Amino acid sequence: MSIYDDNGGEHDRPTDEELVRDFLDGDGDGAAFEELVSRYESVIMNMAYRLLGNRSDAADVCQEVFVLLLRKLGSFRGEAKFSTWLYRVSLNACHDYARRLRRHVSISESPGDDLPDIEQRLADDGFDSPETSMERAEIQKTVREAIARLPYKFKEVIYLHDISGYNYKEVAEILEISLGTVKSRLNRARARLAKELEGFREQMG
Amino acid sequence: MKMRCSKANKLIGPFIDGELAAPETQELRQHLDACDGCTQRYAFMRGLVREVSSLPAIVPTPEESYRLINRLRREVAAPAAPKPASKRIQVAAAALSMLVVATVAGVSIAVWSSGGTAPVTEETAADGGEHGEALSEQGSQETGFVADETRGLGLAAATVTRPDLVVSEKEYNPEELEGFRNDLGTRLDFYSTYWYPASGGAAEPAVLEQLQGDLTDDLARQAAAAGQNPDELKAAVAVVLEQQSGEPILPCYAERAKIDGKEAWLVSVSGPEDYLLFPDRQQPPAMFLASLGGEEGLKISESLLRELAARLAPYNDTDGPLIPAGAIKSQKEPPLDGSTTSETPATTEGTPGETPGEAEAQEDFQSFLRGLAAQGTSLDLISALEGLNYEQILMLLHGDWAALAVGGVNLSDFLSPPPRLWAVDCTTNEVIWESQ
Repeated sequence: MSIYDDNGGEHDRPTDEELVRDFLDGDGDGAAFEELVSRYESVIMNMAYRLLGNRSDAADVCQEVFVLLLRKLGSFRGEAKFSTWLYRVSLNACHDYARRLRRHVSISESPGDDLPDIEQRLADDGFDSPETSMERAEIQKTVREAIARLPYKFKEVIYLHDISGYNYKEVAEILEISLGTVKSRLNRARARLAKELEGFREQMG
Repeated sequence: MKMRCSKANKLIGPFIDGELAAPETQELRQHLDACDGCTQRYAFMRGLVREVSSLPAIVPTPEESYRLINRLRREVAAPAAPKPASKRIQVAAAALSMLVVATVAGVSIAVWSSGGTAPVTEETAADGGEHGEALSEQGSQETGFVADETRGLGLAAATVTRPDLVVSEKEYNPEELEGFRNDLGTRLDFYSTYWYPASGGAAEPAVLEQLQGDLTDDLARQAAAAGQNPDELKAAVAVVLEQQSGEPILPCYAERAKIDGKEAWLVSVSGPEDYLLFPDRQQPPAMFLASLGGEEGLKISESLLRELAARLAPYNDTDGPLIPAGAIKSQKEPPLDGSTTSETPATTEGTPGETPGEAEAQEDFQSFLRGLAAQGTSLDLISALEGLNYEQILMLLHGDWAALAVGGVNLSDFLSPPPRLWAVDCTTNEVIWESQ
């Protein structure tokens, strides 16, 4: 399921936009804001993690994004979907943060080393042989590192399209760029990744 | 017309993504059928996209969630909050208090399942400087508080969780204070940092005293930075600590407010029993609980437990005494059951000659529970009771928390944390309100 599906397939769940309206009207019981935070905390954390390559920074940005949300929700006009608006706000926050730290092209040496054990172990799950598992873990590590080294603009499209599952049109809408630019950035980003993963061509082909 | 490899290369990405128009798709397919090089490139790129899209997601840890909530709570409570949003902000404040619980419920397994590895402490230690810096920045820019001297805080190296200070100037009435939850996030933070078994050490008298002093100083510094009289706050915290002298508690939250028109400091403390704030099905290690000997409040009355035990006694097939005389630990009367249950004396032996079956026991138990429901007893409590067996009911009667925890019983169903909030008059330095 794409995360673009606000309702998670459940008909009785309020949409994000309905929650925003409840929050802004101020006559709800406050659960609207609670629900928005709980729906998006993990999404924003993951976005920030992929874009900044560092968990501690991701947690900080996540806080900044929700503070912004608290302050700026009043300016959400409903022209775009809430998730589109939130992604835009979040991507900008990540970019600002990266610029502030001047770290966006020199993130941690081994992104992913600060991941919880559970993620580190994921590659060992399933029915693969130990050799295959190690190989997969190695590929995943290389992919993570290669993404982390991408220029920020490339990371954005990789994150939105390949990781989050947005289509070209949606990526264009979120980033406020043309469809052609989305295609071009995605192609160039993947070409760079492909170069770094050349050593695994046989396993991945 | 034959497609060139350079063009095919450009189309492979959109083709994989399902974004290629039909005529071009057809053209590309024909090219791939005829070109091994491009076919290999296509397979490689497809594998690459698959790898990228299957990178495992990260899950916010409990501490990250608490920090987020605390940060938002500070934002909501900040005096500089824009006026037009005041009603909204208040609503959000209530929501955020609830959210702490909701968020914790979602991620708390990570805390409890971490065994003795103390991930929270390690993580905190690792980024402590950075976190402190971030807090300072928030203080000066967003809440109007001047940055405080975090680095001067004399806390143990592994602990950086700091108390919270808020100058809300809000007017509370006692009813509102009963439902006060502004300190909840901080108390959860404190539990993870100071009381969670693996983080260890805070309950040691020497460490405790040191921490109490350091945390009070920290609050005082924050008060001064917020334009408040630090000595006044220190005195209020001292009064509160004195109320619970000798207990393992740490000052974790202070709010400048008005109680029934009086200027007051609301002071909240954290204690090891705060594990009960986690609405969690997992249990902290039983031995740790047993070692606490804290002051939990039993949610169910002793009389009710006695009646339950008496009812079930005939169905119990064990030989020993069912409720040993004098063995019942004295408990405070309950806040929750609200029952007018009669004081049925405990039965100490089964009915001679009768060995009723499990079905009867179950029926009797159910009828007892229906009776409780009719009296308006909390449904959660009834549901929790339903999950107990006879021995566990006796354990509840005896206050044998450790044994219950070992048996997988969720103690927070039956116990509530002790009162931890006081309001101290700023002028007279007297306690003018305390939670029950």
